[in-house]
Amino acid sequence: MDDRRRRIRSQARPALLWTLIFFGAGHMAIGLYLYDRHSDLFDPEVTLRLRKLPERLSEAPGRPMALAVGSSRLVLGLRPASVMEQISDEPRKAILFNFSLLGGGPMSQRLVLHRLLRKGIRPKWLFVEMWPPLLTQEAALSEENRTFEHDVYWSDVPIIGRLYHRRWEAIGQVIAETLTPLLQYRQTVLERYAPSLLPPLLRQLCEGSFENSLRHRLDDFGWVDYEIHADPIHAERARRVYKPQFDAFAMSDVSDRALRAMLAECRTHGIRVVFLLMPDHSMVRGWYASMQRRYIPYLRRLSAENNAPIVDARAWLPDEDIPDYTHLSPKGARAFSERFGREVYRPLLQGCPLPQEVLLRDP
Amino acid sequence: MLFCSQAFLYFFAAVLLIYWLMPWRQARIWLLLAASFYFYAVWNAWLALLIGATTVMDYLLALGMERSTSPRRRKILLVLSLLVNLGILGYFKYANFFLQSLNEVLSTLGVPLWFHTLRVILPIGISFYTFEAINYTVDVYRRRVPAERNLGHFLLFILFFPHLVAGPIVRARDFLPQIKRRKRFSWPRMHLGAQFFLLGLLKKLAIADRMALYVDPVFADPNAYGTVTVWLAAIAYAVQIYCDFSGYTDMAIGTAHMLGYKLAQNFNIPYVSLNVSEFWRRWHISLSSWLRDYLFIPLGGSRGGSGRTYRNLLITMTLGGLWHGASWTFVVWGVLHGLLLIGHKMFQDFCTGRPLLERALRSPPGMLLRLALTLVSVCIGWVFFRATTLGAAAAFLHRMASFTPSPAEGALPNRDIYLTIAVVIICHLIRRFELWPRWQVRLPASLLGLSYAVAVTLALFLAPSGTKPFIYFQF
Repeated sequence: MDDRRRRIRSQARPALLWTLIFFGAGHMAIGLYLYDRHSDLFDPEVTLRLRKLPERLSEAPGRPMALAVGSSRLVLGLRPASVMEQISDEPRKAILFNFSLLGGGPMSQRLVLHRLLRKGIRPKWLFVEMWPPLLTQEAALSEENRTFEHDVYWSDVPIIGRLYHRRWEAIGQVIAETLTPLLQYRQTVLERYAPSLLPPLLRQLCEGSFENSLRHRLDDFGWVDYEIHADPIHAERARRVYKPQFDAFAMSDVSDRALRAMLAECRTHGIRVVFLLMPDHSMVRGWYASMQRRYIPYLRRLSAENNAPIVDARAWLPDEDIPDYTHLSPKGARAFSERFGREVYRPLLQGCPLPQEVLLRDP
Repeated sequence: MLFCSQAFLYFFAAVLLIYWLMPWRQARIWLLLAASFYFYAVWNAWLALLIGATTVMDYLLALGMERSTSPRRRKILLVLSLLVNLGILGYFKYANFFLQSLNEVLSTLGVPLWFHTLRVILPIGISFYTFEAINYTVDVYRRRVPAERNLGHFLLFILFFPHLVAGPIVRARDFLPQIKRRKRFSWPRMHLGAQFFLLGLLKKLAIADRMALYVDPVFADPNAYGTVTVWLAAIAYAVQIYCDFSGYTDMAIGTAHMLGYKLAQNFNIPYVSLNVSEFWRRWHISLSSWLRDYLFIPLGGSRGGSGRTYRNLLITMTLGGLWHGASWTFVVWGVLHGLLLIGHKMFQDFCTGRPLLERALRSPPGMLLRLALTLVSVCIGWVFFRATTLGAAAAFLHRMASFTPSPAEGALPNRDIYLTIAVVIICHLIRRFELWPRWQVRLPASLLGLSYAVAVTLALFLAPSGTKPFIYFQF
């Protein structure tokens, strides 16, 4: 008995210390392995694009590159392949890559550009989507909230520190993701490797989710081929979620700071910026009337300060190409992208000024 | 603040560090008291003050009881303490239940009278600390424990955060002397505490919360599932509630150990019980022993013949059921267990003097049959415990007895429920045959450390997102 007690007493401290060592080292090793081999587990939206973009660049070394950043409206709406078909006869070809993210507004646009520049990828042109609900940073559309659903890198910390209200929470997330990635991303890991361990309802949600379809439907240039079926519920949702953002539009200071910081970085690196107003459903276009005076002067000021034209494509498509009142159908995306290629991209490549009919005009 | 939350981890790490760095005994007690108040006040500061106030009242009444030599005065003070404690419990927990029941009866009788229900929130853990306060004042009245003179010590006895919200229900005679004892940091104690905490974490996150994923949809709509699935859900709930509550208790015992305190054992592998009476000696031991000492025995216990014993058993278990929650489902659950205990007592009396029958019951097949019967009875009882209304319980039981095949769309798609149940059975066997202590001394410390690290990872990895609160928090 005494021997047993002595044994228990002697093993107590080393056992606890070994627990800490194994837990810490084990998770760090698993984390390094996963980041190295399966990085798309963590943030497929960003990681898959980060993988595809250098591949495209390496296929055409020396060619200039244009980058589009924005939200899901651009993810589904801008098909670079259709744009580039329009310039196939151009001697000066340039690659267009769509690096838009779900819910992506000024903050994620800023992060995307920052990450790419850090990787040595410098676009010549940057198309920046502007849409009022993405600029207010209100409640459900707050980019800061959405960031916590995504992977955050150590290199993002300086930007987070300047832009975020919940900066310490975000930095805590970076630390947790670094130390215990297996736990932070357990749902994704389970979904990929042991789906039977996921709760049935969650599994069904994951299987049918847009995020999941991203992995399978993302094309080589960052466009997602995703069909949204028309449903009366979409109109109700658009009115409930987006209309209040138009009615009570107020530019958030965070969006403003993020945009200005990104534009400053573009100036530093000689990147030419073009603001892009994506096609809107006629119902949504009607909502601009109440906030034109607060929104358009702001855009014009930014445009003037940065010598960045504003392409106004809001009325380019018929309503049937915008089935959920917000996002373009694949057919609509092709039509929009082709026109974008002809009327915006080609003149840019040729170094010509953009035609007046595509630019934002005074109401 | 859930024991398995990140917030608790930071809170406890800070408390533990400061606690052991403090060289003064009294300062440690005040630190634990402040931490316990904070632990409760994070949820609701006003209700933390209410517990504090009633605890101070019990402290003063007990002092008064001890100082008084007049039996009448002592009895008045005891009644006052019971009235206040049970009054607060009744107001917060049972008033709406009785008002709603009264309204339903009046409406059935066609009486045009309606009582408005109260807008109150139920203080977490009220049933637990009320019973602790009652056992203290009753024991002081019976002169079984001396009244505590140090207010800080008494407050810590009631408010000590590991047992504050869901037990185990501690006895003054066990806990108060521990507060006075000088405590030294000990690695074996920390190791033991960590083992308990880890075990609790695994039970709660990797088993109980996962079982809930299967249990909840079936209880919500039993008619969408076949008989086998419904039985499986009943068994899964038995596993869930055991792992949830005993997991909480293990974590409470573990945190207390790390702070140098020992809480009473609350579970002793209840599902290996061969009869319901044994089940209650193994399940929620601190409550069943409280009910025995402060209700069953004062009612007369087993003295006074079979009839009185049966009556006392039924009253005790019915009130025990009601203690769990203000709902008829808990009352029926209590009555059912009372009847099962009475049935067991009658059968025991019947077996006395029938050696052949006794021998058959003690044989391996007989024991297996008893174990299965006990488990089935307990699982049927859990249906009332889990169901939100008596109607829902009846629908569930009807489905259990209807032999309906599983409709394709209503079948539970995941099969890891079998795996989890198998793991629980293996763990029960390891505990039953005391294998872990034997293995533990043979394993090198590094292997132990590895197994703990794997256990934490498994618990956190398998936990469904959004940890559910502990079931017993509602009581």
